[in-house]
Amino acid sequence: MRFLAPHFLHLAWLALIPLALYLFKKKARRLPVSTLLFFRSLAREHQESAWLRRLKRWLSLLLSLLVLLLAIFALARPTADTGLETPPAVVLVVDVTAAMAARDAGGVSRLDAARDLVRARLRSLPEEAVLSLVVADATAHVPLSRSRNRRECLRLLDALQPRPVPPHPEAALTAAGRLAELDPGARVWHFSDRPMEVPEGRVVEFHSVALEAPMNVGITAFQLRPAPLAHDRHEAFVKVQAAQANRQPMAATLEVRVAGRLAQLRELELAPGASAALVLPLEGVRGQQLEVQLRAGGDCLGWDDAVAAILPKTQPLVVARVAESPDPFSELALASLVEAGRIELLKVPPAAWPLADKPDVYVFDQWLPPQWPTDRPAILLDPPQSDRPLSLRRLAGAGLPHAGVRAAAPDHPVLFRVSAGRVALNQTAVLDLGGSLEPLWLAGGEPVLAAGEREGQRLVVAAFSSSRSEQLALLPAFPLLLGNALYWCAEGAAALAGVPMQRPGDLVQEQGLRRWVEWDGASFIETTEVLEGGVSRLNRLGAWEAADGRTGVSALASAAATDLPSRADRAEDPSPPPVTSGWAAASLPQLLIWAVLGVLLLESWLFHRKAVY
Amino acid sequence: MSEATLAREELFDAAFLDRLRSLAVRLRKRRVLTRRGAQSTPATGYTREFKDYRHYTPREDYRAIDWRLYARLDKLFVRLYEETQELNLHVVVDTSASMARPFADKRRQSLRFAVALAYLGLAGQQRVSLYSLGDGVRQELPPLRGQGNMEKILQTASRLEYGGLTDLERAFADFRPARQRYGVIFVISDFFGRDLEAAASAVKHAAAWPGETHFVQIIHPEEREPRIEGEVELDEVETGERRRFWITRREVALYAETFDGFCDHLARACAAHRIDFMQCAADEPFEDRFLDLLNRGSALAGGV
Repeated sequence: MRFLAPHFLHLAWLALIPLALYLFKKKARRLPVSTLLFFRSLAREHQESAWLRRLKRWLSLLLSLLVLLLAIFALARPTADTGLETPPAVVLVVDVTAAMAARDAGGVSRLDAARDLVRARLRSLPEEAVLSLVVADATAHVPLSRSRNRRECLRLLDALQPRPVPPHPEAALTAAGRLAELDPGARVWHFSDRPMEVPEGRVVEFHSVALEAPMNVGITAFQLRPAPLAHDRHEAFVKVQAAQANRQPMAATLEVRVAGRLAQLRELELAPGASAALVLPLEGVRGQQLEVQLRAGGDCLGWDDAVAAILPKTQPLVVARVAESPDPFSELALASLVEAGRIELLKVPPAAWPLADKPDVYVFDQWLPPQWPTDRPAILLDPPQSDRPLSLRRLAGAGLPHAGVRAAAPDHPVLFRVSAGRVALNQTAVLDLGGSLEPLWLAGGEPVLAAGEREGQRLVVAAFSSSRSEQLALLPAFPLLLGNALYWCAEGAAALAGVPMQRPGDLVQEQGLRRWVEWDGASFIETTEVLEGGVSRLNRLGAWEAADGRTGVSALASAAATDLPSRADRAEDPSPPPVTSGWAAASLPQLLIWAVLGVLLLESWLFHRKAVY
Repeated sequence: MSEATLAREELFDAAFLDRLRSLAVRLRKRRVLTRRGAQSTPATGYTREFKDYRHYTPREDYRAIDWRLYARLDKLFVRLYEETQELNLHVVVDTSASMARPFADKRRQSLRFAVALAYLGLAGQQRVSLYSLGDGVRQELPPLRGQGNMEKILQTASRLEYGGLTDLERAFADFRPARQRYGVIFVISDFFGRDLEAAASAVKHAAAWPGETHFVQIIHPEEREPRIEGEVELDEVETGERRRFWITRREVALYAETFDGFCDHLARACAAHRIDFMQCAADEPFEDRFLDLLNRGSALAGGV
């Protein structure tokens, strides 16, 4: 047997106190009285002989010494010596990512379970063990480094709160490894619901606090963007996923609210590990609040159940059309798009090239710039000559008429809802596509419409003349084709970009007041945040709006966080090696305390159950 | 001065007792006593002391007619003479150990009462008997009359031996003065018996005594409210029994409550049997309390 806190054994000198009290016990004063008649009614007394009284005094002394020694033994925390090596130092890695907020049926979070487990494990360590605490969230924090102050370690542990970030254990593993290297023989204990991947040569004892049978569904992807060619309409892309470890399929309801009004309601039935992707058309004006909330009975984790966003202002797509003599039909088609209100058309003569104000897309109509622009995507309509990066060969004369075209890539976005059935056109050039352009329309075996990328920018080339084509100008296919090409080219432009998505833990550089519609795991609440400037780490879920009108979304949207593991899944993991005999370490002091209480009760019953003596 | 004897001055205050000469102990009720004595009574008798005249009524003893008065007034009157009776005064003093220890004031106070009562009786030409009360009643002095016996009373009182138990039940049952000794009985004691009911039940025996009974309870203030706190071993002086107690203020209050209950119970038992009961603390002024005693029991009579 050995003691985990042997310094308490020095308190054994306290046994001298009852011994001294016994030896120098002051005898009761003897007082003569006229009669005991009235004292007898006060209390009963022991009617016992002198030897029994002496025996009881001895017994009382022995019981007092026994109580004292048992209490000192309990403080010294005896443990059975099992011959196992006791680590001189331990690095505690505690996971506080979003999955640690998952609660069981009793409402106990995984972090609470980890705290209890850490306490239980620390009880088996000697007092002089060196402790380090590493907190793993989006990055690694080391609130306690190589300290013997166990109380401080437990206080820091109690102060930990789960954070809505996806699991990133790599930084914590690195920090724990560095700390462990400082103390030879140190061990790393990892408390989480899932183990981390440990490189060869490093030993990490994993202590699982995963739920026995988790049930969880969550939103694992979200995107909000304006709908093309539509006023005050948006599209929200939502992906809902069920955890792989779910026992059974989960029924969930996806509620979408715009400005507090229910806009969409979807019922989902998700098998374990299954996911569902939804595109939700929404109507709403700038500044209205969008709330997407997933409701499912028995859901363990609330942080992945909702996303909030503030509908952004829709900006027009700026198109610069550069032409020496514009084609009237292409001009007509572009004008029709302008009237839709989502496109702003700049008519630029070639003399004004290069442009001071950069548009989102260039449209070169029968004209090519002397220096190819590499800063914006471009649409080439009936290019007059071959120029880098475009290679073509102009056809002589008025070109080559074709009675029909064939769609080579009908699923390409440029051909979205564009019917090629009745199209007849007049080919003006033969395109040399190279490797980066994809033919969309083929006429007579030659590509007349192609799309792709050149020099880092998207490019759409039409090798035909709309004015010389018989039916093309009269069909809706041509303006639709132009519109598709504009939006496909400008897909990365700010005007078409959706609301920027962020995740808690991301670094942001903001300053000033930000209004938040915050999701706390159970409900939406409105808060504000004042950012002092500089780089800070995002630590909230919800939608924010800055003073200058910019909006953003912070969502967990992590398949790893939603996919809660089950403890049964990790049954094959070897259990961590015990530091000492766990049963003995945990129960022996308790047994001693119970023994102290028992002896105290016995002593009270023997000597103090009556008022006298 | 040893505890065994008391100084004569402590028991006999000549100035005070001289003032008592004008007082006398008498019976509260008119009663025909068998023996003639010096005690004047409201009754008429056959002494030589003229008391009054009264009209003669037929069948009255014609020898009592005052013929001289008849000669002057031509009416028949009879002469009435004083009746004097012999009154016995029994003084019973508790001589158990509890009257002397641990509070010697109780002994002095009780003996003062006894001596003063005896002096009053002797001065009134009554027969005074002195008894000691312990586990029984023992006559310390035979009936004495005349002031010349005061010295005997004093010597006997100062040499009374204190010790032993108090057995009220047995003592009161044994104490039976003869009918010829009818008179006034004073019992001076603390009345602490073997149990709380002993004194009250012993009162029944006292009710049968031939005479008017007065109980004088002598207690010490610390017997009512002991100044004890903490762990003590109490030693009863009468039996030598020792017991250990842990006394707190709560216990003292409970003790005082029990003590008062005992005294009330004894007083009620005395009242039920027409026995006068008076409680006197050992530290109270003796003269005031003695006059109280005489007034309370209507025992105070006019001049002899």
